[in-house]
Order: sequence, then structure tokens, then C-alpha cells
Amino acid sequence: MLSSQTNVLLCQKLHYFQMTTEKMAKGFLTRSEHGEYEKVHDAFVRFVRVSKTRSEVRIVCSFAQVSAFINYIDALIPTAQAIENLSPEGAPHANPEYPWANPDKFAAENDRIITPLMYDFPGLKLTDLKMRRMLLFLGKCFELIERES
Amino acid sequence: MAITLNPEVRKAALEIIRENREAEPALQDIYLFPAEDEIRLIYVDPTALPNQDAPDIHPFYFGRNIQSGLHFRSAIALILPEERETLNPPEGWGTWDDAELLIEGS
Repeated sequence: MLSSQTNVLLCQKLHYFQMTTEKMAKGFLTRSEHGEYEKVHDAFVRFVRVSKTRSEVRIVCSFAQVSAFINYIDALIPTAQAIENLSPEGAPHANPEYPWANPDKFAAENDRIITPLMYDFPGLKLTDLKMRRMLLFLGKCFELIERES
Repeated sequence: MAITLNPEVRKAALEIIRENREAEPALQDIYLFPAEDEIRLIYVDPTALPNQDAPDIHPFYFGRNIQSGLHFRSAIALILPEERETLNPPEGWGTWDDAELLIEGS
């Protein structure tokens, strides 16, 4: 399990995690008989949002009540957005792949550039509760993919 | 060649829509696009995320899931109300005129 690996840096774990969520969501954007990979943006958050409409996702997540499932997914969306925001695309910002400029204009010279290796990604440790919940949801989605295969 | 809607697909779509509408009353218009063996839905949802890939709509595809009572493959996309006039239906789904407006919201 990625979260229990102690010899892997947080930035590497987050990079794998962000890529996994992106590829998983893009898999659902791909029609199996065409097999053409859809080059779209922001697939994961949109997938989490759409999953609210899917009874098979609700069932694999072990929710009998639709309203409880809706609340569960709604609670996941901010975390999904935080994970999607880890993509390095766009203006320089915290991401697990490339260094970025420190937004603090008064930072010491040595701190002008922040590297993923040294950044602690607040709120995004894989042991944090909301990340653990997201990991579980991701696991359920892969379980669904297995069932549909 | 015009795409026709399988009545069984329509019936299955209505079941999905019924559950979704109960759970999310904010859903507005719901469009069902014709297909022989696939449920093709576009929901107009004021809480949807803005489309970043205009003018195309990219739905999510789900397989059959007999355990969940889903006997057809299905595809679904969520769009904002204002995007109805600016986005194209997914490739192969036809035009907006080909779709049946199942639910017309406010």
C-alpha cells in the first residue's frame, strides 16, 4: 500500500496518486470499442462528481441509501480537487514533480525556489483522514473496473 | 443514417434518471440521445464544473453491471445550463435535435 511505504518520499507518493486518479478517470472517458484516449482536462474531479449519479458506484462503496452516498461523494470532492491541483500545469504552484517559485516575495535567497522533495504538502499526507478516505474510494473504483472487465 | 432509440434502453434510462432526480433535485434538463444498446444521457446541472474542453462534451462511460440492475452500457455527462447553447453533443451521438428532452427543469 502506497501510504505505508516509508522509503518513498511524500512528493513521489503524491505524484503516483495524482497520476493514478487522472488515468483512472480518463479510463472512464474512453469508449472501450474505440479505445481512443481522450485528451481532456480535469477528469478526476468531474469523474467523482458524475459518480454521484451511478448506482453501481454506490453499491460497490456499500451504500444502500442514495442520500448517504451523495453526502459521501460531496465530502470527497474537495480532496479530489486538491489532488487534481497537484498537476504542475498552469501558473507555478506546489506540485510533486517540479520546483516552483516561492510566492513570498520577501523569502530569503535560499528559499526563492521550493522543491517538491522538501515541501510538506499540508493536508495531503496519505495518512490524513480525508486522503485515506480518498484512497478507499479509489480502491472501490478499481474494484468496479475489475467487475466490469 | 438516423440513430433509433431502443425502447428497452429508454426504459432503463428512465430508471437511472428517477434515482438521480430523487437524489439531486437541482438537476434541470435531462437529454436522452438515441442508441440501440447504450444509454446516452446529458444532464444540465447548475452545480456542474465548467467544461474545459469546449466545444466538445466528453461523457463518462460505464459498462453493464447486472448486479446493480444495469443491463446496458451507459454514458453520462454533466453540463452547465449556459453550456447547452455552446457545446456539441459527443461524437456519434447526433445533434441536440436528435435527443429526447426527458425532463425539462426550471
